[in-house]
Amino acid sequence: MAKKLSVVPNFYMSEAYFDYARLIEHSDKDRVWVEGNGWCVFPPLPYPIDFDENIWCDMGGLCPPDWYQKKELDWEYIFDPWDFNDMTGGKWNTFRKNVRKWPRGNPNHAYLSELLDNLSAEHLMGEWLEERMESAQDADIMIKMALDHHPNVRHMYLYRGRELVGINVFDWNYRYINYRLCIVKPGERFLDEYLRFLFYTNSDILLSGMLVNDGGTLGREGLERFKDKMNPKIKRKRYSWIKKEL
Amino acid sequence: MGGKSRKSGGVSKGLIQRLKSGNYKSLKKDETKDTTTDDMPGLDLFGDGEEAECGS
Repeated sequence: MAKKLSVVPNFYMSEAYFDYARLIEHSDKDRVWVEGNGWCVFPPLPYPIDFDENIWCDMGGLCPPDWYQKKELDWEYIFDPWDFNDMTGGKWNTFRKNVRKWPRGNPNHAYLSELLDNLSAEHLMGEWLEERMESAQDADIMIKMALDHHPNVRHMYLYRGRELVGINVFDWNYRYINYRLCIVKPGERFLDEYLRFLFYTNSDILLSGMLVNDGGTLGREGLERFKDKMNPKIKRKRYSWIKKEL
Repeated sequence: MGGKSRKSGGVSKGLIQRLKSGNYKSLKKDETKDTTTDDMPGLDLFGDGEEAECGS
């Protein structure tokens, strides 16, 4: 329906996210809407003028009626993979320099589409989440995205020798590739930059011709500065629509 | 995940320990392989026989 109406999808609009977050799609003769965790997750489509339930995350091209107030939910970053293939000009100085550091110290690495053993992925996921014990959001969905197999989710693995040190996870909707997870072994300086670089410059990502939705910042200023240095094509706010108190 | 949650955040120590010790119930690829892959528009991404890409 979003595609049909030319609505720009947000980070949460993909089959894999719907499945893992157990979102339930409803429809009647006039509209389609999605529910999860007690929320109407997106504005119903086509957007009905009489709808007044709280809405968790809006989409591009829709404005709320008067009876809602917009509450900031998160940023949403859109990147062009070809920018990472070029990385020319002063605005790329910092990222370009940082991307080279991890591979220089770890020449024996390989970026593979196959996982050599399941336990190493579980262990790495555990180490990575341990660093985010208080702040992790949707840990259950993240674990499923990283470790389970879904027809619309792809994984790429970074090995140093036979040691798994990074996992990239992505899925897609009709408009964007969604970069879901960049999981790195804790304590490896500049590995995060390098793994992201590998993701964006993978030939399949480049040749898809699609832009990448890299999600938001979860209110973390450090993550916002980090993503800003990667020169987003689009940086936009996503809002919840909350009913005004009368 | 780079995305916000509709629930409260955080993750339990127990779950982390299960993951780190390899006791999390992970699915085995061969048991769950789904042949109904919904390809990305215009591209058969990582189709069968795809070469692994070297990062170095």
